[in-house]
Amino acid sequence: MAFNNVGFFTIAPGQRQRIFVTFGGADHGAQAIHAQPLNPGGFLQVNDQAKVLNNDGTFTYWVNVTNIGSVTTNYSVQGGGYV
Amino acid sequence: MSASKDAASKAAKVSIVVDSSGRITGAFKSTEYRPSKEGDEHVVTAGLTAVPGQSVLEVEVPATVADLNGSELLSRLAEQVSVKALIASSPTAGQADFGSSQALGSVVLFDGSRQATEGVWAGQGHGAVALSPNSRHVGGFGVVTAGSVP
Repeated sequence: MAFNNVGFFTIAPGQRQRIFVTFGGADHGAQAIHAQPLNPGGFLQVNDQAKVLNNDGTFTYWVNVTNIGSVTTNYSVQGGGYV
Repeated sequence: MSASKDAASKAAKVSIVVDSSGRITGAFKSTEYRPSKEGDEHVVTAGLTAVPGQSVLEVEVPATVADLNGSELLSRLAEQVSVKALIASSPTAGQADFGSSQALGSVVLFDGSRQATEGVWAGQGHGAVALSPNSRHVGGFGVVTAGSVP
């Protein structure tokens, strides 16, 4: 499934944030997670995608978001499976 | 009570990201994604956690502040008395007490080949680490060495 507009994040230029996404703990296979800039000039890079099987059997997806632009940027998270 | 006064009196929770110098570098307000398509029953939620050198704190601020965005949100959050107090009372990841290492003039960081990477800790227990290009500092200050490079 695809998802959009999850969370409302703000990040200053040059900063990095570690973001997690959950689907109620369910395993949704391979998921791509990206940052959707919400203001002009927003330039966000994502990397270090990760998937964690937690001790309680649930799954959490992780990604790093870096503001490589020059303005403080609002963003939400979007993504989906590879199928 | 007028609508504007009512909005101002309401409090909203915001997570803030604070760097090692106590500066607010980011914020997060929770929203979730509820799929409308039948069969996609899972609600998607997101959040953030601190990376080395950061702290994430939850603060309660007037809704009029929480509803701001961008640089104005960060600057207005930094002006809040309650936020200032919370940051002051919360040692951030980069401000941890390094005890006796505060006396060190510099810290040498090594890469995988044990070659000094010219990293210099400019701190008094609260300082930053400068890394040369292509070197990486992961996690805490696991290897702290004063003196010459062996």
